[in-house]
Amino acid sequence: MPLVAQPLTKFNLSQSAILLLEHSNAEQDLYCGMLFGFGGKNVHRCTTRAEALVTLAAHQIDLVIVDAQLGPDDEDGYAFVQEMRRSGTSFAFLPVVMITGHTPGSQITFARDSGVHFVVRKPVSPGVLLERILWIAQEARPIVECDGYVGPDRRFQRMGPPQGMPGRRSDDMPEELGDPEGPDLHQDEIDQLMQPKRVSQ
Amino acid sequence: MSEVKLHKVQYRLARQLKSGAMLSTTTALGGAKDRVKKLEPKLLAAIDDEIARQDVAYQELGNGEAFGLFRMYESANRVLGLAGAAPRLAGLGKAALSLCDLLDGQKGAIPSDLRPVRVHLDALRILRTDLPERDQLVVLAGLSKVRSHKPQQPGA
Repeated sequence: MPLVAQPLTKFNLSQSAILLLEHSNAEQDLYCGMLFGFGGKNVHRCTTRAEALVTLAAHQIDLVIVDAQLGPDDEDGYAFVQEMRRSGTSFAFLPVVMITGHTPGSQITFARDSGVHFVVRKPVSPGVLLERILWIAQEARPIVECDGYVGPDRRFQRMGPPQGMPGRRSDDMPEELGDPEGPDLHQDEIDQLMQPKRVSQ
Repeated sequence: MSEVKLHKVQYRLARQLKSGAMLSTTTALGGAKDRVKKLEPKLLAAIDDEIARQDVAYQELGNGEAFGLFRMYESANRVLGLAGAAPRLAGLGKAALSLCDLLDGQKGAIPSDLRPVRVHLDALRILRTDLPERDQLVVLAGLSKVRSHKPQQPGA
């Protein structure tokens, strides 16, 4: 089920600068093939975390695509996203799509808590990658910044604060139900609410 | 409790995607598939390199070198990524994922019985070919059995 109500059916990726952080050259070729096929023209390919941070500082990037698993001598993609989010720079809040390989549930949580917008599992198909990029275009989640987390609001659904936790937002409702504001409705009144009648015009 | 700041952001990407000469998603997907198709020989060669690396890692495991486990896991992860090169490689991707599961379950210890690993490596080699989907499913069912097999305890 798509995350957005009406996914885009037409788009233009040719004006956007994309940073692709991927250790494997062959996988870089694969994802670049997809991005160029989508009409992308400006893809910065990086193989290390350090290289990607330099590229972010030197170019105006619009979208970051990062593999969770980087080279054996590098930190992983999660660390890169956390560093980017905490950088206090103009690129700190950029949209990020993370590509993960073998993904135990704990890693999905880890990816989400590192501040990425979306996680895509390998093997990545063109359809899924494009769908996630277009979702970002219709994203309305604010970026949350607090001691333990910087990234897009992790609450996709309005379910209130976690159980047993007081809310930290002005629109969070308390867990306890208050006293009723008036007398209970009679069954007739409830039935009327459930069976609205046609009103003559 | 820490202070929470909420930043409303408007992504430049969102504006760019909706302005200028547009592509339909159907055309874009077609373009992406064509480009990936052209890359297929190169990507298949990369898969072959990874399978060769796994053979080396397997020998390391046989020699009692635990690092081989990490190397094989990393390589299986890369095969999983490269399986996105073509729909017919879906079985290869699943076998690579199965190998990752098997190695991850070892929690860093060299398996006492290396045969399940060997079976996975052989399966990757088979699924790398143009195997019909029906036969791919047979191979994958076999891997599932191998993965769920628990070695008998002595005296059981």
